[in-house]
Amino acid sequence: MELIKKSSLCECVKAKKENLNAIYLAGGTEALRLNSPVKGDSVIPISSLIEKKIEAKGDDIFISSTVTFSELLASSIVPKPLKEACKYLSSRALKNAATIGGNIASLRFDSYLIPTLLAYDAKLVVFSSEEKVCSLKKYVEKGSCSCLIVGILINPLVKVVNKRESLTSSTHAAVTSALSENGYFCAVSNSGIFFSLEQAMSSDIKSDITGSSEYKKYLIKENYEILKEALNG
Amino acid sequence: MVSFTLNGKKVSSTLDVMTPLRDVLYSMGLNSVRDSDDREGFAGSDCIIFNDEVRASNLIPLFMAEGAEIFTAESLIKDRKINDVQRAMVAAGVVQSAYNSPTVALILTHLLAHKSDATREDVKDALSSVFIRDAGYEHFYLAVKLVQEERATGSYQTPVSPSFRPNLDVIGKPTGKIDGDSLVRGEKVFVEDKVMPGAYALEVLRSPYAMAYVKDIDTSEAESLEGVEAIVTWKNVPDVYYMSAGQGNPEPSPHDRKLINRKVRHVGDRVAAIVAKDRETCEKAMSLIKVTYEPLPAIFTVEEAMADNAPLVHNGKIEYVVGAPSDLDEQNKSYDERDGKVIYQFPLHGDIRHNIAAGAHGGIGSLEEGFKEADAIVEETYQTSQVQCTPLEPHVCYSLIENGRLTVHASTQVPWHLRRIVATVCGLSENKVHIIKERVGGGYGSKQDILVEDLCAYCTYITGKPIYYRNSRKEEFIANSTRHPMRLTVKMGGKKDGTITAIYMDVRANTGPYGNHCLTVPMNASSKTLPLFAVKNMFYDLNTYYTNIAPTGAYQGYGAPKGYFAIMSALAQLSWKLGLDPLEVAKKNVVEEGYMLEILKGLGEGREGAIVPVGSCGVKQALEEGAKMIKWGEKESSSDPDWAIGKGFAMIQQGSGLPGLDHSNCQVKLLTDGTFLVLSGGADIGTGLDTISAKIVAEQTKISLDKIAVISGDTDSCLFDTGAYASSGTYFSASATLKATEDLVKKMIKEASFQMGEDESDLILRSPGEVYSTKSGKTLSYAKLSHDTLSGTGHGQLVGTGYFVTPNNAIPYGAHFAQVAVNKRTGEVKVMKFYALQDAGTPINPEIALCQMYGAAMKSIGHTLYEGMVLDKDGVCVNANLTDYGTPMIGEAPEDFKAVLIDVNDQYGPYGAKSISEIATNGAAPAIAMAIADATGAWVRSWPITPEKILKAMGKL
Repeated sequence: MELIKKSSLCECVKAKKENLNAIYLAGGTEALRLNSPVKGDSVIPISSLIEKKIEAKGDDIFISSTVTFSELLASSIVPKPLKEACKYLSSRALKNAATIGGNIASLRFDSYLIPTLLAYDAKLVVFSSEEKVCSLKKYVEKGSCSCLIVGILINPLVKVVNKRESLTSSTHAAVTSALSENGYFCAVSNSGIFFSLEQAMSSDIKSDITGSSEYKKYLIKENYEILKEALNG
Repeated sequence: MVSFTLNGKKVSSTLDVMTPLRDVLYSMGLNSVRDSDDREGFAGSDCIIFNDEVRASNLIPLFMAEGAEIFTAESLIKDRKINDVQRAMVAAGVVQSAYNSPTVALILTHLLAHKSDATREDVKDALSSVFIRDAGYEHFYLAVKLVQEERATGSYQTPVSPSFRPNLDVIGKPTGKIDGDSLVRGEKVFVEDKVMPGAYALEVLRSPYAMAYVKDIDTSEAESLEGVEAIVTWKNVPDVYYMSAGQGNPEPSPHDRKLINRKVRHVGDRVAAIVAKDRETCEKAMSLIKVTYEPLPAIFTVEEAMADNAPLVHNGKIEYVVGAPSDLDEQNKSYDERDGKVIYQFPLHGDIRHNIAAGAHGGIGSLEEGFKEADAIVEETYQTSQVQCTPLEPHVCYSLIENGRLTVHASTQVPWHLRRIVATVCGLSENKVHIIKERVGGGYGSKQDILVEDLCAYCTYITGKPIYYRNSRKEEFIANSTRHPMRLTVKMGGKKDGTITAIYMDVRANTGPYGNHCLTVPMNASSKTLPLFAVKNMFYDLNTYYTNIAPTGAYQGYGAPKGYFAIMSALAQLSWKLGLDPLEVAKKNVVEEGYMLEILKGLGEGREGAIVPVGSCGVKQALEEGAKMIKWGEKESSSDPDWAIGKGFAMIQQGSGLPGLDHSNCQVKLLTDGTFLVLSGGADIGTGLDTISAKIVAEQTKISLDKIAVISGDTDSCLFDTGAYASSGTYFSASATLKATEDLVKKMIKEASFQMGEDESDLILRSPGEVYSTKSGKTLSYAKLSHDTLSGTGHGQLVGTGYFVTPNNAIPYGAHFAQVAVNKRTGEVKVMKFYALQDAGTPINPEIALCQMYGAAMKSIGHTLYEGMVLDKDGVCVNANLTDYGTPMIGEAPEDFKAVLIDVNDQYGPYGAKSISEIATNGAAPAIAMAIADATGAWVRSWPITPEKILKAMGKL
């Protein structure tokens, strides 16, 4: 693996465009881990280029993309449901390295954070040739992007409930779900990230080691009911 | 160049900036930073403190360390002394195989530095990155508590374990392991630490097919690559058939493989071995080898193996060393030369033309009569999965030629079997082979098999080069040994008064591509379960089938955990059918001391077994105490209507070695200064066997433990021992130590009598290391005794020698209880309570024994609920890594977890001791399955009991 070290975000984005197999590197828990779906032949480090911040911005909270799961858990202003989602990553050593931006950018179908952030209707501050704001939903729908996630904006007042179904604390999840006034969102192993119950139930849900298609569909639906009760309760 | 602060000192590295920091640190001599998962970020052996945070060093490229402040476990040592956390870990008994003990000490030290009043939750969070397979997690909480107590009051306040035998000094007392200090500080004790610069690499080209003939293999281009020393294929391996199980010779397993076979029989089977100057060259050479396969249809299940016209996994020539059947010529009419041979050492009722590797059948009484008497009968089939031992230290070997002999540094449970097999493969006599058993970073049965040493040592033998080989974690799954998947049908009948009238077990085991342990592991499903029942009519049938799954072999518990899953589940179902409490039915039908075990006659391992009475037996006490602890009979209700709570239990037994088969030897020497050296054949695999040896010498000679050193498992220094398997260590190896020490004591008294001019009958040994005359009051120190007997007029060095064989069983018994909560909507299971109660006779190392119970129970909980290798239709394992495979971490440990030692003194074991850890793998599956059924009314009869299976059993899917 090659190291492509740049001194500005602009150069990083340019380098990424020039090196299609390059990946941005922040915490390294996806980019460097064996068996990760995130693969590249070179890495572009970004940690030192993005100042770590968790701060109120109007009604929203701004979280730098390089903030780690541990830092989210330690913050006094990060809402509890997002902290709960951070706990889905059980390993303390990985929590100390994994970043919120990395978890979004890897777009894993067993993502710890994406369903919860979707339920917050999170916005991403991204950098391409310039900084701009886009919705997380659009980013996920698009599927891949050479732009660089700089930060995440969420409205902490949105009531969010979430749930993860995995065999053990450390195995990959079969289904990770979140529900809020913004809708029901779920990441389903080997199948996709979905933006509604209907979309998930009508999709091709694949069987894998986390469970059969039938089981996952059952969970998608049952979790929706469970979360609905929790949201209303 | 990258510069950083390491353990308080400025250092720099010029290695490639993308080199994982773990490799950088290890290359700097910091061998506490280990690797158990090849950068998977799972096991935590690579954890360090990086800028004041716990991080996985495998996931940090070197360049990210620029300017960083890094601490490793080496930083914990001050003035060559371990710190208080390390001391507490040794005291608590958690330092066992210890591959990642230094790292854990570092993490807990860091935690306590930041939070001196760390709670149970804090410890749980801190250890969430660490996979512990041997000792479970429970005593890590205790270790932290001990540190807190010592810092607050100057001493430990909480007892680390109960103590036993007040008349003895160290036996039955928690003293800590004698090698605990070395292990927890991270000394260079493992095979990988012994590798010298310049060692060659060995890599294995593995089969992509589940079954195929290697039609052609062209290695010419690879061999011409610079740096390649040798390439071994089926074409140039020795014409020697053997098998990988480290068992007593002649083995109850067929010799059905060569070093590399022309027919590959599983995905991952050996196709070629490449020896080169480094791994990169090996890999490049591997890519240049051209192989033409003739793929064959493969089979993966017992059912497929049993089918008419099933593909034959072994269709080679059958030979028998003794006891060939009269129709052998007929059987050999249609063999295929490309399949090689299957050589039985003696008859095992195999029929390889029907994929049967071995079989056994036997029983007592009359099933017909027994079932006729029954008021109710149940008959169910249970399926167990293929689970992996997952030792933190993978299989590893370092071999070299020294003084014209082949030296093998091994992580093995069976040094002497290893020597024999390596010598056989290489065509050497045993005096030309030296096995050095290093510390073993986890074995659990898988290091009873010779899985890498045969190839590594052979390659050294033919090249003369020192070679270091290490399995990748993926290879640990696909090319190693695993628990045999089994299909067990149990039919059980009982009367309304709770009397079990008949039990029938039909065991169909899947041995995979080779027949190592093909009889003995499956036999244990019956031989370690049926003798627990005082039932007049019991029979079993066993057949073990060859298939094309990844190889199987020994795993802690052998076949017993599977047998107990089936037989105790059937007992519960029968009890409920009769309207009875399963606990009462168990108590009514369990054996007790003195009961004649007629059933054993038909349960020998390929031979006729001996009928003996039940010896010391704490099973009823375990059942009664466990029932009280878990409040058996009281229905628990959940405050959340989605969750249902249930309880279950299992009564269990195992063995202590193999009476009539196992054999152990030991020597104990009095050194010139009056201290002692024990040369034990027994292989301490982290379980504290060396400490047991030292304690026995200490007890006999009344000397302190620090005056005793133990060397074990070195085939040059020590005497023969069959090895650490079948729970033999405490009973066999330690009994040999006891005999050797008794022999030495006799010699010391005799020599002291001469030197002191006293009658032998008036002399005793006493603390702190002297011979004392009860008549005259005269004393003679061991140092003077030894010095004078080694003088110019002395009588020679005082050396005690002892061996141990026995026809007597020292059977450990126990009962495990579980309370679970099941989410009726999602199938999720939480193990709320797990109580393991075991009769280990006199627990010689009680704190270590407790940790082994926790560790074994955790393994068993893992097998029951989470673990299982999954093969796709082509036989490719799709979860050959720790994350996807599902090993339990601290998050899966029961909320309330207790291990209890039932105090029973055995009549045969050394100081009344019996075995401890293997039995602890037997209880979880039946106890948890029963508890789930109690909670939901639904039985799941296959491992792992996943939420999906529970939902299906509940009719929700």
